[in-house]
Amino acid sequence: MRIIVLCIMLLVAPAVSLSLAAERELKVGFIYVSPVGDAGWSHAHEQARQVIEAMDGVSTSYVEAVAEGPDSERVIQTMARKKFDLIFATSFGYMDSMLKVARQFPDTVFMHCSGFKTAANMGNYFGRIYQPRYLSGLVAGSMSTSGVLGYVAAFPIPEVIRGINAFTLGARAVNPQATVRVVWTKTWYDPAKEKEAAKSLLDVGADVIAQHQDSPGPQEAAQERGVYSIGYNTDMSRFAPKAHLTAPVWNWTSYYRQVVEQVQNRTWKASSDWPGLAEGVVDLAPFGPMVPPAVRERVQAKRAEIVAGRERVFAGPIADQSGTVRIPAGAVATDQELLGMNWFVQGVVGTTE
Amino acid sequence: MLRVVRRPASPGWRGALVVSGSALLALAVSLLLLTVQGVSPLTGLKVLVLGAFGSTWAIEDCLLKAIPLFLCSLGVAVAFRLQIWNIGAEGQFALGAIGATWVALSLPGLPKFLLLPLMILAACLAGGLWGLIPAILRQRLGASEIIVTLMGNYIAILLLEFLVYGVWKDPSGFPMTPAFPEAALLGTIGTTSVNWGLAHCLVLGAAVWVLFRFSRFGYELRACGDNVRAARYAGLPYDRLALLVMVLGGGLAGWAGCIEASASLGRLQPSIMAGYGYTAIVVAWLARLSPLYIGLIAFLLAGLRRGRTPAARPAGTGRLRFDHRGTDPADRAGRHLFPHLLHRPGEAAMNAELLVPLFAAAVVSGTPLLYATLGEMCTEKTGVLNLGVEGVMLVGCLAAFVTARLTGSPWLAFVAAGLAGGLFASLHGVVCLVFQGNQVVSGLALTLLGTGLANYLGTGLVGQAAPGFAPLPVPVLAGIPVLGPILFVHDPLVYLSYLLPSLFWLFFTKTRPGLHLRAAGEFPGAAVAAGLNAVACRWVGVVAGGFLMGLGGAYLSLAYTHMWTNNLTAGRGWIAVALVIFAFWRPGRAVFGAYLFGGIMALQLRLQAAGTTLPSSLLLMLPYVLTVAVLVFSSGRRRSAPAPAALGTNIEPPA
Repeated sequence: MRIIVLCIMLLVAPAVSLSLAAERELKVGFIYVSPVGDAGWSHAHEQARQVIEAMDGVSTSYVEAVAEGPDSERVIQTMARKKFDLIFATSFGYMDSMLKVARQFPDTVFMHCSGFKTAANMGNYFGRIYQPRYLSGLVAGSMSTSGVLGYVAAFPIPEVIRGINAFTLGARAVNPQATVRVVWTKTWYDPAKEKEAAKSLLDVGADVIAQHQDSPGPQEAAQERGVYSIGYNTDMSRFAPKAHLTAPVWNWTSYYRQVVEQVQNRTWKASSDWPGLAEGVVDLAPFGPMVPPAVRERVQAKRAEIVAGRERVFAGPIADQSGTVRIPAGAVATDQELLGMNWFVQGVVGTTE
Repeated sequence: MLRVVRRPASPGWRGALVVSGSALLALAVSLLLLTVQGVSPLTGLKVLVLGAFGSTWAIEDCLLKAIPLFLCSLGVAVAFRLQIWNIGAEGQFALGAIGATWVALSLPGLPKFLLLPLMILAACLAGGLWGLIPAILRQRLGASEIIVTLMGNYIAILLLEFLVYGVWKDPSGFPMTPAFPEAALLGTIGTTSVNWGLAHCLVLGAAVWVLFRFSRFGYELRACGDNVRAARYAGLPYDRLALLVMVLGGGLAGWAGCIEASASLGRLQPSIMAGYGYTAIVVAWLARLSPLYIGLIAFLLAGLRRGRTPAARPAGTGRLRFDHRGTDPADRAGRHLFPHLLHRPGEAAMNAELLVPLFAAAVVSGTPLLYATLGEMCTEKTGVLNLGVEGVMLVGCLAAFVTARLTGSPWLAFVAAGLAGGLFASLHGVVCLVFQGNQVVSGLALTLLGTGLANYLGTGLVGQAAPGFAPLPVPVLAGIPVLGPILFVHDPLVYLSYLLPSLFWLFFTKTRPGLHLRAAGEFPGAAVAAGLNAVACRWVGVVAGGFLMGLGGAYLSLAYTHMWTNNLTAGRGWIAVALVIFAFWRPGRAVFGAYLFGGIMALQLRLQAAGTTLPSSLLLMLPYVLTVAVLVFSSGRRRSAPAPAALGTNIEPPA
C-alpha cells in the first residue's frame, strides 16, 4: 500500500511541474546505439523520430552512436539536465544507466527499449518482432530447396534466441525437415564480419540467409551467391533485390506518437509495453517478386490469424534441441518465459552459449 | 666517423610552448572541419568549450573520465622514464577489471572496508603481472616490449570477453557479469557524481611525484633512462628497475580498471574498454611524464572527449552528406558469379567441401592485411617505426569510399586511397624526420587522429553503399581443381596483391634504390657517409608505406564490403604491425602470416556454421599468442636478428 501511495506521489510530482510549463514545447530526446544511417535498428527508430518532430508542440533531438557503458549514463544525464521532458533510450545496454539517471530526475519521463526494469518515471517497451520472424520463417522454409537455412545472429541473448526459435518454428511448419544453422558474430553492426558469417553458412549448404544484424552485409553475401535472404529492421531489398524475400521490420511511429501524446496530456504511466503485429509496431516487409502467390497467401492468412489473436507462435508442444518438451501441448509460453528464453527449439543447429 | 654532439638543452618553457601549440593546432583543425560543414567557428568553439567545461556537472563529467585516463597515464609514464615503451595500458586495465571482478563476485559477503581494498589489490596484482610478462620476455629473450604489450592488449580484451560470455555471464543471458554487491561499489564524493577514484588519483599522483623526485628509485630511474650503458657501468640495477617499472605501471592501469568496473559500471561488461589505455600514452607524452602535467592534460583531453560526444545536437544539422547519384551497389554486387564453382552441396567429400571455401575466405580476409603489412614493412625497412597503420588504413578506407561514391570508378578510388594514405602518413614523417619526434608516440597519435577523423567524417555515410570491385574469376586458372577455387575466384585487388610481395622482394634485394632505402634503416650513419641522403630515403619509406596501407584500407570499403561503417578496419592495422615481426621483415612470410590471420577469423565462423562450437574468444586469441611466440622465438636467435638495425631511432640532424 505504501508503495502504491509513493508511486502516486511520484507520478503527481512530474504532472504538477509539467502543468506549470504547459505552454512550453515538449522536448523529446532519442539515444541511439549506432549511427542513424545504418539501415538497421537505429534507422528504424530515427524514421519514427522524424514523424514525431513534425507533431505540434514537439521538438526532438537525438544523439547517435552512443556506446553502452559509462558514456551512455552521461549522455542520458546531459539530456535530462537540458530539461528534456521525454527521453527514449533504444538499446538494452542503456538500462542500468537510465535507471540511475531516472532516480535523479523525477520530473523527466524515461523510456527504455528492450529491457526489463521500470521506475515510477521510467517505462520500458519492445515489440513482438518474433511474430513477423515466424512469418519470415514460413517464407524461408517454402523457398529453400536444400532445407538448410542460415541465420547470422548478433549476441546469444533472449531477444535474439526468441527470434531464431520463432523463425525455426515457421520454417518447420512448412518443411518439417528444415534445419536452421546459427552463427554468432558478437556484434550488432559490422558489415564485413556479418558478410563473412553469411558466407560460412552458404558454404555448409544454406540456401536462405536470415539475420539478426543491423547491416545488409548478409544480404549482399546471399545475392552474390545467387541464393535467397530474409532482411531485418527495415526493408533491405534495395541492397539485394534478387535475393531479398521479405524482412521482419519495425515501425515505431504509432507507438512513439502514442507515448508523446500521453506525456503531453499527462496521462502517461510507467509500464512495460510489448505491442506486436496487431498494434502495427512490427510487420513483414513487402515480398520480393520471386515469392510465388501460394506462399504469399499462406503467410498472409497466418498473419491475419496472429493479428486476430487466434494463433500464437509459441504454442505447445514445442521441444528443445535435445527433444525434451519445453512447452507442453495445449500450453502457450508466457511473456515471462519468452523474455528469458535461453534455449533453442528442435531444428536449430548451434549453441546458445 | 662518430661524433658525439651534445643535444641543446631544452628549457621548460619550450616544452610548454610545444604542448600549447599542439593543442591550439588541434583546436584549429577541429574548427576548420566544422567550418567545412557550415558551422561558424565561433559557434563551434562556444559549443566545444561550454560542452566541455561550461558547468559544474560538465566539469564533474570531465573528472570522471580523467580518473582512469590519469591512472593509466601515470603507469605508462613510469615505464617511459626508463625508455621502456609500454603501450599495454589497455590490456593491464582489462586485467585489473578482471581481477577486481573476480574478488567482487567470489567474496560477496565481505564488508566494504575489506572488499574494496581486496578488489584493488587483486586489480593491481593482475595488471602488474600482465605488465611483468613483456618485461621478462624483453629482458631474457630480447623481445620488443612494444609488440608484446600490444598483443597483450588484444589477448586481455579477448580474455575479458571469454569470461563475460562464459563463466561470469549474467543469469539474464546478457553478455555481462551479474551486478556487484553493494559493498563492492566505490561511492561518490558527497553530492557530486564524481567517485572516490579522484582521491585515489591525488594520492597516487603525489606518491609517484615524490618517488620520481626524492627517492633513490627516482634517481636511478632518471639515470638509467638518460643513458642505460653509463648507468650500468655505474652499477645501477637496470634489469631490476625494468621489471619494477612494468609491474608498477601495470598495477596503476589495473587500479584504473578496478575503479571503472566498481564505480562506473557496477559490473564487468565488454563496453568497459573505452580506449583509455591508448589515449593515456599520448597524455603521458604531452605531459612530458610529469605527474602534475599528466593530471592537467588528462583533464583537458577528457574535456575534449566530452565536449564532442554528449552535447545533444539538433537533428539534421551539420552533417556531411553526399548525393546518391544513382549508384546502386546491387547492380554490381548482383552478378551470379560462377555459382557452380563456389557452391556445390553434397558433391565433394565433407573435408574438401569445407576446406576449399575456408582457404578462399582466408585469402580474401588476408588481403587487406597483406597490403598493410607490406606497407609497414616498407616503412620499417628504412628504419622508421610507424604504429599509425590503423589510422592510415582508415583514412585510406574512407578516401576510397568517398571517391567511389563521387566518381563511380573503383580504380580511381583505389588510387585515391593510396594517395590519401601516403599523405596522411607523411604527417608521421614531418614529426619524426623533420622535428625528431618520438616514433612510438607519433605513430600512436596518428592512429588516434586517423580513426577520429575517419569516424567523424564518415558517420554521415554509415549504411550507404558505393560502387566497388566484384569477384572476377580468372577464366582458365579458376578451373584448376582445388587451387582454382581457392586462389582465382576473387576480385582484381586480390590478384594484384599476389604480385606485390615478389615485386617488393625484388625491389629491396636486387635494385640499387632498394638497397639505399635499407641502408637508411640498417645504418643511417654509414649511408650518409656513403653520400646517401638518409632522411630522403626514410621519407620514401614513410610515404610509400602509407600508400600501401591506404590500399589495404581501400580493400575493405571497395571489395570486402561495399558499405561504409565506422571503424571498418577493426584493429587490422595493429595486426599488420605484428605481422611485420611475425614475418621477420620478409615479404614471403608476410603472405603466409596474412592468410593465417585472415584464415583464423574465417575459421571460427565456419566452425560455428558446421555445428562445432569452440569459444570464439579463445580461437581469436590464437593469432596474437602466435605472434608473441614467433617474436620470442625470433628474438632468441640473436645472431640473425631480422629487424632493421636502426629501427625506431631518429637520424640526428647534422649540427
